Amino acid sequence: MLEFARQSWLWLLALTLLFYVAYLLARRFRATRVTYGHAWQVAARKLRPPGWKRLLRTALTLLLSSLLLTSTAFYAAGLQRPAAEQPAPLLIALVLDTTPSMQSRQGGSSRAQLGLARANQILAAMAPSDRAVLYHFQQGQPVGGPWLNYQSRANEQPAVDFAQPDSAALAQAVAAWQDPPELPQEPAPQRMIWWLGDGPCPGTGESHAVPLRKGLGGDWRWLAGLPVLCESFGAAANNDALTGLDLELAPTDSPNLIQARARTRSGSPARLMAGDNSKNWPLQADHGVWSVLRSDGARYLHASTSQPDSLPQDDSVLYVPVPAPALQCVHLSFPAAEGQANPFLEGTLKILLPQRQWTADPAAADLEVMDRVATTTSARFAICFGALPEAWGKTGPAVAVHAGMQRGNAATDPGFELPDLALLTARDAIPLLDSPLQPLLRDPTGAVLMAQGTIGATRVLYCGLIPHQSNVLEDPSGPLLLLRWLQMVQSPPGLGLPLVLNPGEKADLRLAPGQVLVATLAQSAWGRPAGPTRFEIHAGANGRAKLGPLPIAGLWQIQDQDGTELGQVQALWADEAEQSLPFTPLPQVKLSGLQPGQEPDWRDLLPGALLWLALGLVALEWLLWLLGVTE
Amino acid sequence: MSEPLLSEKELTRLRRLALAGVRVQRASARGERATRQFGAGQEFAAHRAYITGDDLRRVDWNVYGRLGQLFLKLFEAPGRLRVVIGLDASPTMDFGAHNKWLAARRTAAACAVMSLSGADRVWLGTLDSTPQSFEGAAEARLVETLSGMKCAPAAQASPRALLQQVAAGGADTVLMLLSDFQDRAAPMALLQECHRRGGRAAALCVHATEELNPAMEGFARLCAPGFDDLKLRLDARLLELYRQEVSRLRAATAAAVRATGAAWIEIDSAAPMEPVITSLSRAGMLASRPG
Repeated sequence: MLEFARQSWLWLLALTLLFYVAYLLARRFRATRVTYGHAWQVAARKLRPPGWKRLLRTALTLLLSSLLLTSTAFYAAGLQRPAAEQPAPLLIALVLDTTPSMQSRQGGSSRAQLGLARANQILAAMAPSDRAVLYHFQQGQPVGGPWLNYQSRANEQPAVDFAQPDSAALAQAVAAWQDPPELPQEPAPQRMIWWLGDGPCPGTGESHAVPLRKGLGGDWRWLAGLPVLCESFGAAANNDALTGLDLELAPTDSPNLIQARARTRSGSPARLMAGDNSKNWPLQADHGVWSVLRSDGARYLHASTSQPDSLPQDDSVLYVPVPAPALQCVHLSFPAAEGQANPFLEGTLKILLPQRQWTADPAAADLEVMDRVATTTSARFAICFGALPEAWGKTGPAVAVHAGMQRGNAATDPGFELPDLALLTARDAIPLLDSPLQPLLRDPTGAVLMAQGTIGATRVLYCGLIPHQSNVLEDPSGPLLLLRWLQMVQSPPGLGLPLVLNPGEKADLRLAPGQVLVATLAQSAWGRPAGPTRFEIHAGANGRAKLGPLPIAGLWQIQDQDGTELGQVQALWADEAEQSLPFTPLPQVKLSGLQPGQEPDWRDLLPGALLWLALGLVALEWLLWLLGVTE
Repeated sequence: MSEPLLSEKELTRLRRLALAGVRVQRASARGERATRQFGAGQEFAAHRAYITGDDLRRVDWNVYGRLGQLFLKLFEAPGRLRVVIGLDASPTMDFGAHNKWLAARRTAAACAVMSLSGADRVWLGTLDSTPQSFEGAAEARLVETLSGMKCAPAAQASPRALLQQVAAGGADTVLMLLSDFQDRAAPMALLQECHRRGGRAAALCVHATEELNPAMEGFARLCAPGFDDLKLRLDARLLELYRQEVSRLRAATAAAVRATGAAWIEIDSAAPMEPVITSLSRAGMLASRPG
């Protein structure tokens, strides 16, 4: 009929016995020898109450104190209705669907946010004896948190997981639970899965009520022997998505034109925008049709679907870095006093750079050629003959250069094959004194005659041998040097790194044998998605390596092991099952059904009654003591 | 070894004092008591050691010739007193940090010494025993006897023997009764008998401080001689009631004693001998001593 929830606390009953002992010890009458016995008798007769009253006082004191201590001990020991008569506590696996479709928004909140809010409502509605674990998925595998009770709340939205949830692993994890230690074992706790998602309910079987709690109706399934209750959030919605973006060189004579092609899930035309740091301009972008991207200054490409929808994360590619256009426009500076450029130099350059524009505007030039004139320039390439802007370095007094007396600088790899420059001679060559450029050729005294390198954003080739005072353009090694340098600076890095990695695609990389690159997720429209955000790419013995498919849509940064950025790759995501935003409308469960449907009983009032009895007895005993009724 | 009841200094002082009886007082009033009792009569009574100030004419030179020490020859005077010293040896007398029984014996010894030094005859005994007679140079024996006296375990005392001594003495009787008067029957019988025979009496009521003003608290089982044990919770109210009752009892006893014509002298067991002598003197129990 009754039992103690915390039986070990019954040791408090010993306090009653202890009280009796203390009471008797305190009332021990010590023998005291006196005289005037008659006077004592008279005084006692006047003051001492009659025997029955003294007995009653002692009995009342002992009774009240015993009751007080006993009720306190019973309260501490949890005198209650037998646990076997109480409803079994529920152990609920609250599963938040973390698939990308849960990010779709209707009415200001995403399905995932609605699911989290519902999880908190369920937690608040649980009975005090119920416990729950919040589950989400990472790379398809269930990840559970700590035990939660009706006072707990879940605040953190789990990350989006692009992998499909493994419901069998979930059932296995729930079945492997160890019951919370504080819960009574009788009656045995019952386990269930409460799925909060948008898709069909995992599990099989007829949809019928499982009698875990009275009134807990809903869409029930069975998953590996565990009852599953499903609720869905949101509403059916249309979703368009950017499912592919291709970039390649345009099949034209110009090496500077890139063409782009975007594919959308709905087949509607995508919206392509090219831009630089100051402006954007649209491109023609019919579905699956190549659009030519002008390379005159475009630094990035922005592709998106044409219409907004409820899942904006898959609608656009925010940033595709476009490779800089090849060298196209050349300007030649020369001393103004000479009136015209060195025709031999101009002719050689035109041979080396065919089909380029020659411009008189230095600001529009991609290549600035300085013939003895130091000109401040913002061009991407510069060839300097005998003069160098002050910011780039200093030149020294002219020296004579004799054939066979020069020596190349083989200490560092210039990035191209340095021709044999032994036959170059000059009457007056201007050596480079102080510059960050990498020396290519020195005279016997060590003076730098040729150098190359990058200063700021400009690739620079310095040649101390002035064309009309040397044989630098007459000897084949001079033009060969210029040609190889120009080819080097115009060629892409050569890794084979794609700009965009379409869903499921892999890219072949050409690396040095054994080279290791690191791919790191730098930006994603999905916030903080689940899954690995860093990969290492190891090249084989032949220098071949593969990149992709990347598991998370977004911008990935490719670096070498030193941390030097080698390029960026935009990874696209396409999953028809998710991008179709599946939605199965399921009825919402009445949370009041979570409360144990047990008939009220007087025994439910016992804990409170015991506490009030103890408090009342304290007050009563104090009152009686004031009145002199008890001791 | 226990201390002597009276120090030598006290003894010396006491030997100069004498108790006064009814007839002696009258004689004294007529001038008869101006001379010493010893030597005034013709019948030899006793020897006593010489002390400074004694009349050299009374020295027994024969004894001095034999022993080389000075002794006085005491002759029984016509006004010789019959001093009866009754000690209440009831159990209530054996009480107090300053023991009442000891104080009673000291006082009795003092009275006896004063009597013997005045050549009076002393009858000493407890209320329920046969008194012993002391006279002359029996001071040492008397003190020794007093030192050996013990309280009687029995509460009820029957002073038959003392009554006979009081009756025999008549008007020459001086009754010195030392008691706490908690059992009044026997002392009062003695006092009344003394009064009836025309003798002179003094009731020396000995009490201890802690029985008049007890400082106890808490739960106690009070064991009083002659009464059943009493289990009480002692508090200020009860103690006040007790004190009032004790005062009432003592006042009633004093009144009853005075009704018999006896002097009522209260003695604190903690007090020294000096105030006791003063009280005796104030009560007129001491006579001036010639010489």
